Amino acid sequence: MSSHNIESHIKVYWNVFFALLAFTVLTVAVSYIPFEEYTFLPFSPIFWILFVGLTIACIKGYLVSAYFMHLNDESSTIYYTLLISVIFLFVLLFIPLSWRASAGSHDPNYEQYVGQDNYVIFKEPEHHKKHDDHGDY
Amino acid sequence: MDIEIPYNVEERKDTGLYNSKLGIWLFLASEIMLFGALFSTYIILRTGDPFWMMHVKEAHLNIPLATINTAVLILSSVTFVMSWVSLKLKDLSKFKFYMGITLLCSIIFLVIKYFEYTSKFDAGHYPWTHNFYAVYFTMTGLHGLHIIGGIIVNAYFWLPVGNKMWNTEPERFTNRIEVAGLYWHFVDLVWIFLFPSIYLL
Repeated sequence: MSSHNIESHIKVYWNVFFALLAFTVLTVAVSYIPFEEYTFLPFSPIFWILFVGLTIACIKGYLVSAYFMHLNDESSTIYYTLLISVIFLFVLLFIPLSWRASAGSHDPNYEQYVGQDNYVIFKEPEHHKKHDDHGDY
Repeated sequence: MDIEIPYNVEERKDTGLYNSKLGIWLFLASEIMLFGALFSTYIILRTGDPFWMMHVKEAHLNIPLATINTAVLILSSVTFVMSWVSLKLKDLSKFKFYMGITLLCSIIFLVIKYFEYTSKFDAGHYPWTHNFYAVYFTMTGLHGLHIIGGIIVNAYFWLPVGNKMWNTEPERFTNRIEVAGLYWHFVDLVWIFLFPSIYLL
């Protein structure tokens, strides 16, 4: 890096810093948007809260990794290493998520708890009691 | 007898990297898996519990303090990259200045975390109170441990015992700072995702 080159890099680093600060303020600000009142939007309010929040987080993540960690100009060895890691991250993320989706639908008690406002002591499922009686639980 | 360790400064032809840079990236890849598993756990526990949000509201998470902490961590990241740039400009005193700010920021982060934790404990909220607190304390706690680890490494480079290498092998020392910086930026990156997903969403 020549010294002129470094000067322009310094400028970029500080610009990224101010952008990150701005996005931090933005991410707090959007968390106050009452999406549940905007009934004209497609999809659920939860979807929009997650979508907006995570999009901003991803932009911030991109800024940090691309500029501070120099991933915008890096050896392909690192790209392949990270690619493998990200693929496995998503595989491992979706295995339990798909399990979750099916587990909820198979639990006959699950639906009745959804949407209630107070604490509920979950009833012990019947098949656990049976095991206790036989003492081989 | 001095043993010459290869590829401290010059790049290996096959990887296109000096060795410690490949090393830190492999380590960071494993860290993605570690935090990824915890994020996955968080999603499972949260989507499986209809009363989750009630506990979040009860927790009274301090969003202003967490926002300040985010800003403090971002500042520490930019000063870290500036400390590395200072070494590229062959200015050790500037390096110490910026690294000093990085250290100061990381300590401020931990102090704020301390106040956050004690206010939760005072209110009777512990990791075993509810799954939400288990997730909250595990994820922010593990992140806090990473901050402590970073402080130890960064303080070593800030002190004369660590940066005396600058006098003998300046390029190798600059690379050490770059590698430590990659770790530090990663810790910042984790917080960027932790902050909205725990405090805001």
